[in-house]
Amino acid sequence: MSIAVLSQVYAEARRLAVAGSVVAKGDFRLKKLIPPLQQAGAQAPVFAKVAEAATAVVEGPETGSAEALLELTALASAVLYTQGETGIDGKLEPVESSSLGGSTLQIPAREMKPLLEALKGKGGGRFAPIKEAVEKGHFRDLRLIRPALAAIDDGYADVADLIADKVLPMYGSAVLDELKAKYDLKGTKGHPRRLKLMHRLDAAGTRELVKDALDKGSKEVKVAAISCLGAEPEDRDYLIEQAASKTQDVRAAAYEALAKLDHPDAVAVLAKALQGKDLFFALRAIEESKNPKLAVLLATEVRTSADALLKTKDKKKASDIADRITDILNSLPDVTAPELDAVLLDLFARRAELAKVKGTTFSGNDVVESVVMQMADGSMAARNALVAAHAELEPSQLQQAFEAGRVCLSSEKLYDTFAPYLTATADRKRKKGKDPEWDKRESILDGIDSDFYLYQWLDPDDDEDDSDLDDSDLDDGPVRERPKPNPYDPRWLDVAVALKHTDAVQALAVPDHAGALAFAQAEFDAALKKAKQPGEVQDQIVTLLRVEHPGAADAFFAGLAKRPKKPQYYQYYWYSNIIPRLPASAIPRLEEALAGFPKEIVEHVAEEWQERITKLKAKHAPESSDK
Amino acid sequence: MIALDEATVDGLATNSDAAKNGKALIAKKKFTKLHVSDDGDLLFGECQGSGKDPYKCSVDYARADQPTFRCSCPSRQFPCKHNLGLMYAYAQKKPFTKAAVPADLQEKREKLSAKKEKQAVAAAAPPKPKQVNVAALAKKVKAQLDGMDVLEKLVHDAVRLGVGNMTAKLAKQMEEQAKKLGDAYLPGARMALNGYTQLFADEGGKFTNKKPSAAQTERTNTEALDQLARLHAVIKQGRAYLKKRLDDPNLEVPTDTAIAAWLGHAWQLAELKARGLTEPDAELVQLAFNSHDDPARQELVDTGIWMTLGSGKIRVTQTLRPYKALKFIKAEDSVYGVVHVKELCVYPGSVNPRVRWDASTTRPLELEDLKKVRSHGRADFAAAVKDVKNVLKAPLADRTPILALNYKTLGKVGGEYVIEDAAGNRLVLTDVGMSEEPPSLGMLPLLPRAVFANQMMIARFRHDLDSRQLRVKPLSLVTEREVIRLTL
Repeated sequence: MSIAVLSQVYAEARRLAVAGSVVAKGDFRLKKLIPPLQQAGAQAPVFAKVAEAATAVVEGPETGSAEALLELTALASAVLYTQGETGIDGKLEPVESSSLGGSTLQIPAREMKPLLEALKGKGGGRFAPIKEAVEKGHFRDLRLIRPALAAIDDGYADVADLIADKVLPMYGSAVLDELKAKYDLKGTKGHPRRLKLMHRLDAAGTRELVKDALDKGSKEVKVAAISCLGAEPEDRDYLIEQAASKTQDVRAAAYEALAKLDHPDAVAVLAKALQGKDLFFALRAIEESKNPKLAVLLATEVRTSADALLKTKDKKKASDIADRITDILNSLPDVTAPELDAVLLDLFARRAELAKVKGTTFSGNDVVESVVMQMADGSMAARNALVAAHAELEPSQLQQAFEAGRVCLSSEKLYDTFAPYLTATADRKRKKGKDPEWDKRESILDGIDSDFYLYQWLDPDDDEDDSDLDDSDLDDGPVRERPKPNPYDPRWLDVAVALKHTDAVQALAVPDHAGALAFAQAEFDAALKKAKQPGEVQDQIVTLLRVEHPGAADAFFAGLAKRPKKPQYYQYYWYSNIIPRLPASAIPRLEEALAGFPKEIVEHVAEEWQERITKLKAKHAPESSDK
Repeated sequence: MIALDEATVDGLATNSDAAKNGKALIAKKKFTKLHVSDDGDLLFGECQGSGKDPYKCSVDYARADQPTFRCSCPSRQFPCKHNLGLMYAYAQKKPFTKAAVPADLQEKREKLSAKKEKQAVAAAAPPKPKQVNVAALAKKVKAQLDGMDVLEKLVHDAVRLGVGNMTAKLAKQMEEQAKKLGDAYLPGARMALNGYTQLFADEGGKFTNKKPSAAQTERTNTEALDQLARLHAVIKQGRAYLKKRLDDPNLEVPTDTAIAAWLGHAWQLAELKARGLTEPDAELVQLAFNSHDDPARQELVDTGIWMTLGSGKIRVTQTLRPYKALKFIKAEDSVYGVVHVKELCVYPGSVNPRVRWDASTTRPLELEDLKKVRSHGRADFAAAVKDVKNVLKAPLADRTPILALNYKTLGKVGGEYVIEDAAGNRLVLTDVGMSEEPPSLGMLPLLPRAVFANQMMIARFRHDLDSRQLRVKPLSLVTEREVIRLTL
C-alpha cells in the first residue's frame, strides 16, 4: 500500500518535472498524497521525509520549486530503486534450441566490431571486409548470425547477395524460423532472397510459401518463387504457363526454371522462345543450364535460320536473321554436343555461299566470322576442320586457324603448316595497295603475339589486387576443359629473327639462341645510337632480357644514361617495370641510379623504384631459397 | 627467449589498420634485416620505407611484461607498423639471425634500465610528505564552488522550464553554457550535464529538429528526470566536499565515495598506489568486453569486464579514446587469456570499480580457471538482488551493475527469457535500455542445449523506472569448458 503511494508520488513528481516546476505550487494531485504519506511515516520514517519534501514542493516559494522538486524526486526514486520487481509468474518452459552444431568460434572484438559496423552500416567500403570475413570463416561466430540475418535486406545488393549465398546457408535450419518470421510476400529486395534461401534450406517445407508467392507475391517475390519450382510434376505446367506471362522478368525466370527440367514440353517452350522476341532470355537460360540436350535446340535454330538467310532476298530481313544467328553462336553453352559441331562444320562448309548474303546492318560474313570464332575454341573436330581449310581462308580468319592449330597439331606440323606464310614475305616489304600475302603473315604474327603477356612475364608476383574469392567462384556450373597448346617448334624463332620482328622474337624467345642474341644486340645498338631519351630504347632492353643476353643489365643502365636536357618522368617510369628481371649484381647500380635522378623525376618514380629494388633484394637474399 | 604469437601482436597494435600495415610489410618483403640479440631479449631489424635509408626498428623484451618499442620512423603510433611487422615476422617464424646489438641501441637499453632502477629505488623509499600550495588550492576550490553555482542554476532552470519543454535548440544552448564548467575545473560535472542535454540529441550526438515519437519522448522524460536528480546529488555532495576542502587544504581525496570522480578528479596510478588502493599479484579473466561511442563525451569507450580469480570480484577496465586522438590511443581488444598483474590498482567505487595496471603478462585460460570463475557466481538470486538494490538507491551509483549469477535453469515464461536459481527465484532477461553492448538475447536459442542448465551468467542489471522492473541483460555465459561471449 505505502509503496503504491510512493509510486504515485514519483509519477506526480515526474509529471511536474515534465511540465516545469513553476506550476508545482499548490498542485492539487500531489497535495492529495501528503496525508497518506504522513500516515505511513508513522511506521517508516522515510515516508515522513517524503511527505516533508512533497509539502515543500506544493507549499514552498516558487523560487525554490526546482530544488524542492528534485529533492522529492531523488527521495522517491531512491526508495523505488529498492522496490524493483524481479520475478515472473508462469510455467518455466525450456528454450527451443536450434543449435548450430559443428564448430563455432569467437573472434576477437577487434575483428568483430568493424564487421558489425559493416553489416549494419549504409555507406561504401563495406563489401570488402564482409567478403574477407566470409573467406576467413568468421561467420561461424554465433554473434554474427543476427546481424547477418538483418543484412539480407542491405540496400547494397552485392552485400545482401553475398550474405544470402555464402553466409546464411551455413547456419542451416537454425535461421529458418527467423527468415520465415520476417518474410513478406508482398515485399521486394530482401524478401525474394529470403524465399530462395528458405527453399534452399528446406525445399519441402517451403513449398506452400512458394505456392503462395506465385499466387499473391510481389513481382520480385514471384520471380524468386518461380526459380524455386521444378521439383514437382505440377510445376512444369505452371512454368509453361508463366513463360507466356506479360511480365518480362517472370518470363525470364520461367525460362530459367524450365531449362533445368529435362522434359520435352519444357524444351518445346524454349524452342519457341528462341524463335521470338524472347531469344535473349531463352539463350541466357540455356547458357546457364549447361545442358547439352538444350544445345541441340540451338543447333537446330541456327540451321533453320541459316537456311532462311540463304533464301531471303530482303536486305533488312537478312540483317535481322544474321543478327539472331550471331547472337546464338556467341552464347553457346560451354558444353560438348555433336549437334553443335555438326552445324558449325556445315555452316563453315557453306561459308562462301553465306558470305554472299548482304544485309542492311549485319550480313552473312558476320555469321561466318562467328562460326570461325566458335570453331577455333571448339572441339578437336572443329579445330581440325578449320586448320585443314587454312589455304582457303581469308587473312582475317587465318589467326583463328593458327590458334586452333596450336592445340590440335603437333609442334612440327604447326610449323610446317603455317610458317610458309611468314617465309613467303621474308625478303620483301609490304606491297602498295592490296597485299593478301602480307596480311596473312601479319595474321600469323598476331597469333604468336597473342599468348605472350609482357607484364606478367616481367613481374609474375604482381597480382596483389587479385582476390582469392573472385566473382567467377560464385558460378559453379560444369566448365568444358580446354586442352593446352603445344610448345613452339624452335624453328619459329629462326624465322622471327630473319623477319626482324621484335614482338615475335620477344614472344618466342629461348635462351642461348645465337641469332636472337645477335638480333637483340643489334636492335638495341641501333636504337641507342638514335635515342634522345631513355624511353626510346626500353623495348629493346626487354628483348635483350627475354633472350637472356648477358649485356641486358648494362643496356638497362646505358638506356637510363640517355638523359635529355629536360627529362620527363614518363621517360623513366617504365624502367621500374623491368627491375624485377634484372640480376642481383644490378642492385647497387640501381640504388646509385635512383640517388642520381633529378628531383622532378624522383618524386614520380622513387616509390615504385624503391619498392621494386627492395623486392629484388628479397628475391636474391640468401634466406629466400628455403621459403 | 621471447614468446610471441600473432594474436598477442594483434593485441599490441593501436588499431586494426596498424596491424594490417605491419603484416603488409612482411608480405611486401620490406624487412631487409631481421636479428635477435644473443640474450634473446631483443628483436631488431631494418625495414625499407619510402625514403632512401631503411628504418631501424627494435622491440626490447628486457622487461617481459612491458616491452619497449623503438623505431627511427617519424610515426607517432606506438608500436609503429615497423615494430609490429618485426614482431609478426618473429611470430611467423621468419629467419632471425643472431647479431650483436648496435652500439646506439645498446646505449639506449642501458639508459632505460638505469632509469628504471632509479625509479625502483625512489619507489622503495618512504614517500615525501606532499607539499600543498594552500593559496593555489584555495583559488581552485573557490573557482569550483563558483562552477557549482553555475551548474545549479542550469539544472534549476531546466527543472523550472520543464523537461517536456526542453528542445534540441535549448539543450544545445545549455551545452554551450556548460563549457564554463570545464574552465572551473569541473570537467566531470560538465560531462554529467551533457548526459542530460544529450538525451535531446540524435544518435550521433547532433541536435536536430526531428521530432521524436511519443514513446521515445516518454522514455526521454523518465531518463531526463533521473539524470536531473543525479545532478542534484552531484551539486549537494560536491558542494559539501568542496567546502570541506576549502577549510582543510590537506584533506585527501576521499576513497569511500566517487564524488571526486564525478567532479572530474582523474586518479593517477601513483595516487592510487599511495592511497593503498592496490592488490598484489592479481589474476584476472575477462568475461565480457564492449566498445561504444559516447557522443556526449566525444569519445569511444572500451570497457573490459573482468573477474579477479582470487576474490571473484567483478571489476571493469575503461579506455577512453577521444575522437581527436583515435589514431594514437590503442583500441582495446577482447582478451581470452588469464592476465597476471603484479600490482592491480583499484579505483574508489562500489560494485564494479574501475581497475588499471601498467604491466602484465598473459597465460592461456585453463579449465581449472573456469572452475574458479564459476565458484564465485551468486547462486542465491534473492540475496544478489538485495545487494543490487542497495547499490542502486545511492543517487550517484552505477545504474547498471554487473554480477555473476549461477542459474539452475535458463528457460522461457510466456515469451520472456528467464533464469531461475535452485530456490525458484527468477530473473527476467532483457536487452532494453542497455545499448552499450550489442543485443544478446537473440543468440540464446542458437546455443547448445547444455547451456540452459547449471551454468553461470555474467549479467548486467537495470532498473526500469517506467515499468519499475529490475531485469538483467546476459553478457556472457561461463560453462565448464568455455566463456561464451554474447556481446563483444
